[in-house]
Formats: sequence, structure tokens, C-alpha cells
Amino acid sequence: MKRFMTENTAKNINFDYIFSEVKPITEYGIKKKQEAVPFFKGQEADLKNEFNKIRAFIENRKRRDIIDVLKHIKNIYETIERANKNQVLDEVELFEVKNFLIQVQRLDKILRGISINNLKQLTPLPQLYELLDPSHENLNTFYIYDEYTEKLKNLRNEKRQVEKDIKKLKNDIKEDVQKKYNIKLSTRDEATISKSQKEKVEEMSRDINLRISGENYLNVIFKIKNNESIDLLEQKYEALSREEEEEEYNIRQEISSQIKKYYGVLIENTRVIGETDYIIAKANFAQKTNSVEPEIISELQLDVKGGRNLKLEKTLKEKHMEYVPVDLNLRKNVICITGANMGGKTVSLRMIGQIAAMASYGMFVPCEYAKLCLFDHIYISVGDDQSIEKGLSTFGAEIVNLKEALENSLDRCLILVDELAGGTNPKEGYAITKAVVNYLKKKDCITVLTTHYDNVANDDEVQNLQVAGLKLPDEADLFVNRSIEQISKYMDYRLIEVKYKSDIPKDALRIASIAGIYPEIIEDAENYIN
Amino acid sequence: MRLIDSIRQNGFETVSIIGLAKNAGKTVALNYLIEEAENNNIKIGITSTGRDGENTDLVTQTQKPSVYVREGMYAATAKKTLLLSDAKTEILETTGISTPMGEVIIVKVRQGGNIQIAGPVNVTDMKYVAGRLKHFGAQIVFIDGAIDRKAVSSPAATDACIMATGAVLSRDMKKVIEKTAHAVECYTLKQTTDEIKRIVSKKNKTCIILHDGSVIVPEIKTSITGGKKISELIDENAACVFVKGAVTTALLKDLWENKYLRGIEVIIEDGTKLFTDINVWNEMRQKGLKVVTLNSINVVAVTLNPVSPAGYFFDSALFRESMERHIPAVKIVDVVSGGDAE
Repeated sequence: MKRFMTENTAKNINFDYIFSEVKPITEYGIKKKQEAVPFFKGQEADLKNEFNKIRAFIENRKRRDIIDVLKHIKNIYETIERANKNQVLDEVELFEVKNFLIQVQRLDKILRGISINNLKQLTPLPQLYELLDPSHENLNTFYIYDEYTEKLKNLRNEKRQVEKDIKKLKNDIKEDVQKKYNIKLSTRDEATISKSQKEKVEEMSRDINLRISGENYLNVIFKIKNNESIDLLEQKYEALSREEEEEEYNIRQEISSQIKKYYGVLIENTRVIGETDYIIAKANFAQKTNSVEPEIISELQLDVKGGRNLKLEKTLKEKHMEYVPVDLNLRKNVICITGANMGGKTVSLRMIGQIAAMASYGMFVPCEYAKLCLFDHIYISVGDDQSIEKGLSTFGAEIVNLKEALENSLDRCLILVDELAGGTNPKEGYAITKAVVNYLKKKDCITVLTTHYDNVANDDEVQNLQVAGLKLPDEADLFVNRSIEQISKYMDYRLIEVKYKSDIPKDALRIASIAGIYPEIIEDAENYIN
Repeated sequence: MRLIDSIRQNGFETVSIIGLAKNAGKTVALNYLIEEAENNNIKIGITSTGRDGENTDLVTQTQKPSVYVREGMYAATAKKTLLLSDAKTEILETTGISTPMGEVIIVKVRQGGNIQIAGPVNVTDMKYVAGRLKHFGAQIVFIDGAIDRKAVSSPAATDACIMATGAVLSRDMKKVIEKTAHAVECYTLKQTTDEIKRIVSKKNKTCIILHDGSVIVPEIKTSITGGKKISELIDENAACVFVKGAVTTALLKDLWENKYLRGIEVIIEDGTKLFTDINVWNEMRQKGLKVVTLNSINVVAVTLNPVSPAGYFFDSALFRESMERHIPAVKIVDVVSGGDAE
């Protein structure tokens, strides 16, 4: 199995954040998402198919209705597994199966109405539903209905009659006793009699319908006693209850075995629900993030118009700042991004990775337009790599990353490197960078590097993109209120293709100056440059 | 007026039943209300905080009256207890709320019988379940409240409560009446102003509100142990003090040490949070302690059980009359001997 990207890479291009924002509703959808694998080179047609489904859901107003049904669908995996293992389902489980069938029917009706191409179809099971609604109530509740068997109906009727008889007998005795002794019995059929009424107490003690349930020095509590016929009826009631219980068990057993028969169809339905749910989750996310369907091609290419890094965009929005989208036209195997510090080079790098990964996972991408190919691997090496936390130095961490990328460069890779060897001495750093570029420009991979080294991009086979850089309207204004925050206001983040330009613009000193570094230092630095 | 009618007339839809002790007759009260509701053709729903309705009481090993539900009633209970009951029920909804006894299921009773009731444990879930019971058709929802889960009877979850008391509290009837009257007093303490309520709910912590409207939040871990710290911060500028959570005798004593407390109000969340010794409480109240609540609790009735499982019992008429004399504002019902006066 190919490893599409490491966890670190997913984190560094913020794909982990993006994927966690795709939220299926049902357990089946969540499972489908967890099992999701990227589309690889050669699967362009399948991916196109997936995009078609997402687009169809975005465009269809019935999506709301489908979501409403999905919200009502509960996880019945365990229940149908139990039925499949010949277990007898309880009432609550039967209720859940019945509801599942109702929701499948509802969902199927909507999906058939909008007919989305290549979407797997549900199989409603009216026969099974019928079994769970024998009295044709059409309610989404469940009960072991009298209608199941004649025997059950008769048992219950008989039980009711016996209950009535007992109640009547008890009431008759109660009334008799109340009348006879001129007392009022409580809801628990008790009466408290003062011992001062000696004769009454004695008489009541002898009554065959009464017994003493409590006594102290003042009072005696009398309670009604069951007579023989009540005892007999209560025994009969118990016996009927047992028989009813058994009959209910037989009914549940029969329904459970019917459910088992449809095990395969039920499981398939959960899969279709999961898939539909997952696609809708992706459609929702696409709409929420203003993402578009990318055009997938087989040639090595990556074009993006108005690309956005979603996580950064969200962070900026929270601070009431605007994200500036960036255009990219990567048309060679190696691309160098050069230009001003604070010019968004690293952000663009992450954005490229984000868009490529999202497309591979069958998602729409956050830009106005995108045209790209599928990659087998994505690598990114940026300064704040997690491996540094593991004890590797900046240089050590990027070399480990680079090694893995180079080893896989026979496959189609997207390799994103921020400031290769930026942390080592400039002489060796330049040499390594140049050598890696030379190696990668012959591979079927897209490599994007950001660099400050002159002459790395000075090569016909390397495309050079430069950050447009600082555009200061009136420098005097800026120096009045020195602050690093205002750089973003005057930074033109656009990437412009340049040719044969050996010099890289030096904005570092200007930025340092705006940020408020003492002029004498800036002047001194300028002297060194000259 | 009968108890069920006064509940209806006051417009209470969710009513909790709280026992002042084990065997105070909570379940008897519930069974009584079930019968009342049936006789008056009122559809009710029942649920409980945690498990209830076991055949024998685990603490005293006495026979406990089980909850006997009637056809047409609604109930919300955990799956395991539902499947054990002998009432026949139609399943209306599986709520997704889990309890140690399984998911809470909402049912309609199709054939009467004894049922075990074990409802949700926290206030949010309880509110949801009560809402669903009403949705399906219950006109009144009764919540059988466990003794250690009084919070569920807080005004956040219910409209009113019924307090069950009985001989089990003490062999001395006077003591039973004293304890019951104290509980009713705590529950029905006066409610604070909306303005104070607004300030307090914003902080949601123990705090002291000053005359100029500013608020001081003492740095304490819990209110129970922080009495002295709170007291140190109360001076002539304090307008009132809010204590979040349990209010114990020790805490009140710590606060009472401060002479400025005499002029100001102590605000507590609600009456269920007071755990004070009656004598200390009464003494402080006489000396001028002012306590108000964020939320007053409606006590719709006090139910009496004159019989103790220990074997002794009170004269039911005397018990009721004395209780009525000491708690004149609340309806008193002897659910065991006589039920409601007609």
C-alpha cells in the first residue's frame, strides 16, 4: 500500500484540520470517511465520477431533505449482527430496525426523485417493514401487537378480564368492609383503628376479610386480605402472564429470523447510506468554503487561480483581516519561489499541498479554478516541522524528509520544500539545493522550493516565481508609525513569473527598517551590501 | 381541591417528587398521583433520576411499593429496566441518552403493570426527556427524584416539586414536622432581583457585589472551604454576597463572624443547595441573617407517610393536622392513610 502522505505532512499542509471539518451525520457516513483513501494516478475517471456526485448534491435543493432523513438514522450494526447470529432481538432492537426501514424508504424516495448518476441505490424492504407493522398503523413506534397471533390476542383479552374480575372482587370486599364497620379504607386498603374502640377491634380481628398489618399502644392497622377466589384469580393471572411472555418470545424469534434473511441487504443499505452521507458532507463543506470542482488531468501540471489556504483564511477572519488569494501556474518540474520575506511564500507552499491533497481525497478545492494531476505522494518540509520536537535539528529534520521524497521520486510526487538548507552555511546550502534541483527536474514530479539563494532559479528548466513584494505608497507615512503589522497591508502577495533574473529582491532591510530597527544598524548593513 | 387539580391549575407541567429521606413515601406519593391522574383522565408521563422502583429497598431491606403504571401513560426509562418490567409498552423513541442501565427509552404503556423507572442523570438530559414526554402527549410529567440528586428538582429542570416526608425521619413527630418545615422554608426562600440575577449569572462564581455595582471574585477553590476568605472581603461597601454551590453550617458560621453581613443579603443558587443544621439556621435567622435565592422553587404539596419501615407509626389525623398548622401555605396530603380531603 502506497503511503500518500505522512501525518506530519497532513498537519503541515493543514489537511488534518480540513478533513476534520468534513462532518458526516450518520455512524455509517463517519465510518465511510474513516475508511477513505485518496484517488491515485490512473483513477482520474473514478474521481471525476465522485466530483459529479458532489456537484449534483450541491446543485440539488433536496439536499436539505436528505440531511433531515440522515439525522433520523441510527446505528443498527450491532442489532443486525445479533440477528445474523440467531439471537432473538428485544423490543427496542425491533423498534430500531423498523425505524431504519422507514428511513431507508424515505431516503430512497428522495434519491430516486433526483436521480444522481452512479450513486448506489438503496433497497427498501417493504416485506420486512410489513412484518414490523402488522396492524398497518404506519407509525414509527413499535409494540408486540395483538395482531401478531390469534393466541397472543386471546391471552391478552383473557388477562384483561381476569384483572377486571380481581378488581371487582376486591372492590366488593372493600365496600362491604367499609359499610360494615363504618370506616374509610386508604388507597392501600388499610384503616387505622384506635384501641379504645375495643369491641370494634375485636370484631374486625375476627373478620375473615381482614388482617392486622401494624400495631402500637394506641392503634391497630387493618388491611384487606385476599380470599380464596382472589388468590385463585391471581394465580391464573400469573399463569396467563407467563404464557403471554412465551408467546411474545416466539414472535420476536420469528421476526428476528426474518431480519436475518435480509442481513446482506440491510448491510448493503448501511453502506449506501454511508456513502451518500459522506458525499453530502463533502458537498456541504465545498459550499461552506466556496470551493470548486478541480479539473483533473493526466499530464504533470498544477494550475490554481485564486487559491486560498483555508486554515489561515479562518484565522485571519477571526482577526478581521483579509486573506489574499494567490494564482499559480506550475508548468515545469521544478519551481522556485523567491522574493521578499513576509511575502507569503510558505503560506503558498502549504496552499499548493492543501489543494492537491483535497483533490486526491475527492474534495472540491478552495479557489476560483484549479487544474491539476493526481499525485502518488505528497511531501512537505517546512521549518516548524514536528520532527524538530523529536530532537532533530532544523537541518536534520529536512534532510530526513528530503531523503524519503527522493527515494519515492520514481512515482509521481508533489514535493514542497521551504528554504532547503536554509539553516546551514550558505555555501554548502546553495550547493545542496542546486544538486537536488538538478536531480528532481528530470523526474515525473512537481517540486516547489522557496529559496533565498541567488542563481538556483537561473536555469531554463526551472520555473521562477517571485513574490511581487512590498508596494509602499508613501514611505514617509510608514516610518511615522513603525510596526511590523502594517507590512501585510502593503505586501503584494501575487506570484509573478520571472526569467533569467539572477538577483533576488532584497526587501529584508526595508522590512527591518519599517519594523523599527535602529537606522544606524540599517545604514551599516547597507554599507556591507554595497 | 385535589392535588392533581392544583398542579393543573397552577399550570405546572413538570413536577419532581423529592423524598426528605429514604422511605419517606416518595414512591407511594407517585403511585397515588398515578391513580389520581387516571381517575381524572389526565395523561401523565413519569421518569426518574437514576434507578427506582426496585422491589426491595437496598438500604433498609423493606418492601418498597413498585411503580404500577396504567394503560395510556407515558414513561421514560433505561432499556435494561424496561425489559425487566411486566408492563407492556409501545416504544416511541430511543433518546440516545445513556445511563448505567442502558439508553433511555420513551414508551407508552399499552398494558398496565409494574415498571422499573431509571431516567436520565443530569439536568440537561432530564429537560430533554421531559420535553419529549410532553411532545408525545403527557399533560404532566412527574420526575421521581433520588434523594442524592436533588439538583434535578432545581427550577432549571422542573416547574414545581412535591416533597415527601414521613415517620421515617424521626420517632418524634415534632422533629419530623420541624425538619419538613425547614426544608419547605429553604426551598421557598424569596427570589433575588433580576438585576442581581443578571450580575451573578454573568460571573457564575462565588462573588461579592458592591454598592457601586462592581463585583469582587474571591480566589477560592470551593465555597465550602472558602468561608473565611469570603468573609474577609465583606466590608461596608458590600451590597450582597453570592455563594455558588453547597451552603453548609460551617460556611454560614464563617460568614456570620463578619459584622457587616448582618446588613446584607446572602444569595444562594436555590434551596436544594442549603445543608445547614436547623438550630444554627434558626438562630441566625432570628438574629437577622438574610438569605435569598436566584431561583425560588414551587412546593406544590407535602405528602405524608405516617408509617415507618422500622415498625412505628403516627396517628395519621394528628400528623396531618400538626403539619398543616406548621406549614400553612402548602397543601398537605397523607398519601398512605387517607389521600386528599375531598
